[in-house]
Order: sequence, then C-alpha cells, then structure tokens
Amino acid sequence: MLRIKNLHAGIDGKTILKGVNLNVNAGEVHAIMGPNGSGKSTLANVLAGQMDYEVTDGEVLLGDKNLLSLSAHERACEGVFLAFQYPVEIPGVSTIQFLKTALNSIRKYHQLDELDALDFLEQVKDKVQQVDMDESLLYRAVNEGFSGGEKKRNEILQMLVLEPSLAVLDETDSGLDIDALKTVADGVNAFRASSNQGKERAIILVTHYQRLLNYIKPDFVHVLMDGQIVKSAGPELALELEAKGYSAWAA
Amino acid sequence: MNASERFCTAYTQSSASIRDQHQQLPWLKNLRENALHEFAAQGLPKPYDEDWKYTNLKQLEQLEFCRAERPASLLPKQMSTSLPACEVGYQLVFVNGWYMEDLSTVDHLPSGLVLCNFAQALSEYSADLEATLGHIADREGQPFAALNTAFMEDGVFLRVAADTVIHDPIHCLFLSTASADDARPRVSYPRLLILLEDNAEVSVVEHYLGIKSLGIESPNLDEPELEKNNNFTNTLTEIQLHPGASLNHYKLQCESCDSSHIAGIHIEQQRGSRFTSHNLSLGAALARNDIRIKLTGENARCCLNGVYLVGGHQHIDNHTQVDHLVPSCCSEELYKGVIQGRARAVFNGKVVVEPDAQQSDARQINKNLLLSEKAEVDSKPELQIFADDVKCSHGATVGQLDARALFYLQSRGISKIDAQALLVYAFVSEILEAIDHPGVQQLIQPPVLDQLSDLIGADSIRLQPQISTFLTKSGEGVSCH
Repeated sequence: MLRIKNLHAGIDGKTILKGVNLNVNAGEVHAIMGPNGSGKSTLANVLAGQMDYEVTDGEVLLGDKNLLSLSAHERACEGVFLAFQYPVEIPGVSTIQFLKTALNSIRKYHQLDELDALDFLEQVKDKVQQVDMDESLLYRAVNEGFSGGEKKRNEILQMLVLEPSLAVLDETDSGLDIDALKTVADGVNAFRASSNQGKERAIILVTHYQRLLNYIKPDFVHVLMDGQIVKSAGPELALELEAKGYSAWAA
Repeated sequence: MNASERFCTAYTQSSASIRDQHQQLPWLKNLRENALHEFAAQGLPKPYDEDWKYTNLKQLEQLEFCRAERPASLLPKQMSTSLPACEVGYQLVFVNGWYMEDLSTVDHLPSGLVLCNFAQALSEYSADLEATLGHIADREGQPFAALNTAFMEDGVFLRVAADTVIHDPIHCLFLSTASADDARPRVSYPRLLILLEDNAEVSVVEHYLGIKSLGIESPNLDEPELEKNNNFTNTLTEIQLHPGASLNHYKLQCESCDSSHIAGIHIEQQRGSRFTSHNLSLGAALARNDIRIKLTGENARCCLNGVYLVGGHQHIDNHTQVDHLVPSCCSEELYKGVIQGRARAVFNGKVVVEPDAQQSDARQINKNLLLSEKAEVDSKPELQIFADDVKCSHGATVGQLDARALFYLQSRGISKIDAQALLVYAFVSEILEAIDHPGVQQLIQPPVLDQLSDLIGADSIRLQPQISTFLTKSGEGVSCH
C-alpha cells in the first residue's frame, strides 16, 4: 500500500530524514519508535503533506499514486490520515460542522453525493460512543477548551468517521491516562479490524514508549535514529527497546 | 469653487417642493438653513482633522454630484429583479433617496406603530418632527450630519407607542441605481427618525443596496454595460429611546463598488433603555459610519456589534462614540473586520465617561483579520474617563489566518480555499450569530457570504446550508439580554 524509498526531508534548511525506506502492506500495523529528534514526527508530517517540510530526495507511493506530488487535502482524499500529536484548536468552527465538511469534501473528491445531514449525525453519534467522547463536544468549537484526552479522542473520532486507508498516529499516546489510552487503543483496533470487511487499512504508529503497543499489537517495529531506520523486527523489538533503551543503536 | 461651496450652491437651487414645505413649516426652513450654515462653516473634513486622519475624501471632492431626480412610480411587477426582503414585517423602499410607495409594504400596521415616509410625516406628525428632528444628532464636528440636515427631503419616520412590542422587523431599503456613463453621479440624503416611547420594542433594518437598474430594461443583453455607480449616499439616522424602550438596529451596507457612503447614527438613550446595533459594511469604495450614543438615563445599555468585509481598494471607516453621562450605564462593543487586497479599514472607538457617571461599565474589542500583505488597518481605542468608580476595558488585535489551523483542515480533506473560507467565516460568525431574528438573518447572510467568497476567491462558501445549524454555541457577539 505504502512504499517509502530513500526519503530525504528537512525544515529551514536542516536535513532531518536522511534516507528512510519503509514498505507497509494493507492490513499491517507498523510501529515507528525512536528517541527525541530522530525524525518520527517529521516523517508523519511529510506523509500528511505539511508544506513547511521540504522533501529533497526520494519517493513515496500510495498504491500507484505519487504521494509527494499531491497537496495535503488531496492526500487526505486519497486515504491518508494523520492523527496529530498536538491537535489544533479552531475557534468558531464546531466539531460537527468540521467533520461534515471534511467527509463531504472527501466524498466530493470521489464523486459521491453529499451525505444526508440526519444519516451523517446518526453515524457520528455511534462513533462518538465508540471513543467514549461526550456528545456535547460535537457542538463545541474544534478542540477549543478540550482536555488533552478529549483532543486525542477527537482525533480517533475523525479517523473513524473519515475511514482512511492509511492512518498515521503521531504520539497519540502522549498525555493520556490509562483509561483514555485503552479507549483510544480500542478505537484504533476497531479501525484495524474493519480492514477485514473488505476495506484496505494500514496503520503507522509513531511512539516514544512501548506502553501503547501493549494495547495495539504491531506487526512490525522499526527503530528510527538520526533520520534513518536502523532496525526492523517483530513486536518483540519493542520490549527489547523498553529494556535496553535506544543507546545500543546510537551512532 | 471647492467641493463644499458646490454643495452650498446646490442648496440655492432647491426644488419647488422644498420651497412649498418651507412656506408651511417655518421651523423646517430654519433647521435646514441653520444646518447649511453649520456645514458651510465647517466645510468638508480635511486630512488634518483628527477624526478624518485616515480617511481621504478626494473622491467626494473631485466629483460633481447632482441631486437624484424623483423616479417615476414603479410597480413591483415592473422590476427587473425581485428586491431583497424579510419574510415577514414591513418594508419601505427608496430609490436614490426617494420613497417608492408602490414598492413598499406598509399596510395593516398594528396599533401603536406609526411608519411612513417624510412627506406623510410632515403633514400628519409635524409636531413630533418639530420637537425631535435635528435635535438628537450632533452637527458640531459632524459636517456630514449638517449636510444631510440641510438637504434631507425624504426618509423614514417611525414611532412606536408606549408598551407596544412590534415583533416583525421594519426593513428600510435604500436602492442606489447606476447611471449612464456620461451622466453626473448622484447624491442622495436619506434621513431616518426613530422614536420609541416608554417600554416600546422594535427591530429596524437600514439596508443600502447598489443596483444596476430598476425596471425591465436591457432588451439587448449583448450590449456592453455602460453604467457606472459612483453615487454618494449621505444618510443620517436619529434615534430617541424613552425609558425602558428597546431597539434592535441593523445596518446592512451593500453599496456599489465605486460609490461613497457616509452615514451617521445618533442615539439618545433614556433610563433603562436598550440599544443593540449590528453594523455590517460590505460595499462602497469609501464608507464611513459615525455612531454616536448618549446614555442620558441611568441603567441604559447599548451593545454595538460590527462587521466589515472589504477587499480591492475599498476603504471602510467606523467611528463610534459612547457618552456615559449618568451613573450605572453599560456599553459593550465588538467590531470585527476582514481586509483583503489593498483595502484599508479604520476603527475608532471612543468612550467618554463623564464625572457624574459612576459605576459605568464600558467594554470594547476590535479584531481584524488581514488576508493580504497590502491590506491595512488602523485601530484606535479612545477612552476618556472622568469618573473614578468605573469598569472600562478595550482591546484590539490584528492577525492573519492561523497556518496550523489551515493545515489541520487540509489534512482532513478540505481544500485550501474551503479551509480559508471556513476559518474566515468562523472569525466573523460570532457577530452574525448575535442576530437573533431569523427573518433578518435570512436577509443578511447571503450578501455576507457572497462578499466573503469574493474576498477569498472561492466560488461560493459551500457550507452555508449548515451554517445556522452547526454554528458553535460559544459566540461572544454582544447582546443586550
């Protein structure tokens, strides 16, 4: 589904990603771990099309589409979703209006009719329950005055509503207490399970800690150090990292 | 001859109908002539006048205006387009300043409501007019208020009797039509007088709209459009609110893009009265509003909401002044602007708290969103406080669209232009939400969305059907409840 080849990218003239290679197939969950400053968030943002980052070399294919030639909203319409590490507050735009505008924009891109307002509301309400979010938040401005946990639940809610094919979760576990972490993980697992219903789904988890991986079991774990993936293995690698730290791979 | 001399000379050529009025109503003659002298003494404002520092009147000075002719009467079915109107309520229609009886809907007025044009008011309610007309507005330091008073000929008279609540809005529509290329631009002087007796309540919409033409015309649609509209509308509204009265006042200014619009709204508020103003400026090349409120009775309260959306080379100047003359009054003000292209906006919010006006509560906020590098805003709060036990605050912000919010929206599949539209609409929505009359909302929302779309370059703001249902509940537009 996703092929990242020799990806080099940076910001303000500073190179951060120095040749990342990664293949993600439909149905797989990949965890990307690494110390602060290794380039994890940069990778997530470059995939989502954050234009502050400059791609200097390499290629990213989503299916047969050249992802790097698409704008951020086109990538979203093609099925890329980034759950933000720091979700943005948008005063004056209600969460429900935001969700509806986003979903209908994606539907329009695929030449589908806009959803009926009532059907949409029913759908969203089911998913709000799934992530254990207070329904009243739907009518408040996006993320405005939300707690850290509410913001992360809102990210997962958006993922469930927009049904992307590739979800990139950037430090979604940070700032969550254990109950919120479980709920968020349940949401991600539900999303993952829905790939069994004929929908192609893949997940990239960007995380610092092994904790989240107790709840979302990855198929592969990669270690990102200084802008390169230095080790890839099965889920047991996360436990090893937890025990030994990243120093074993330090240059 | 300079511009103010030209205006004065025009006075000596006043119409036969004015001379008739003067014979029957000597007080009106005195009022007009005093006003003319006051205007002549002041002249048009100059750049060194502090109140006009940022607003250049070159366009007005250079053009030679002529008085708009009274148009032949028109029936609604003769109109080439249907006129904007509230679904319910009463409507008075004016064309280039002249009342159009056949286009207006003022039948079946409920008891307690007097609503008519000036000609009728002068013959039937002359005593009311003599006692109030020209007595509420300041003309000193307000040359355009003086100019309007010297030249006013037609307008709206509205009086609501004590304890009468009028639910349906009163829509005063002032149309300004384009003229042929070789014709002189027109000037018109609409005048409104609004009197609310004790505990009366009503909503009034002042709506200024530039249009191409009136009747069924243009048989040959291929012909290039030759019309231009650099007309000048100089309007003045006087409002007197008796104890406990409550007025919702809406001003929607959608003049043609080459025209000039200079408006004064002067209000006297007595004890316990409520005045809520929603002032929306969308059109005109040059627009200026002077809103001046005198809080003369204790516990009077005024709320001023304003939105200005300008682009291209438009210039919008909002000057507000609230005088707290007595104790325990409250004034709140929130003005928001979106400025694009090379447009320029001026906001000057003055609050004066007189020595006797203890326990005054005055709050003022002005927020601006600049959409281009050449857009400009001059925001100036002015507090003059002579009492010591008061609460007064003010704030002004100037910013751009939040790049992080734009990316967040785009990352969810919303195109850049739609994301911009959503954010810009969200910026002004809190003020639009404060418009709580659904009929007035329907009247105001389409031109606001059209202007926003123009500024952003979007085809249209696609979100509009959902806007009213999905707005956030956290709007901070000020209201008087």
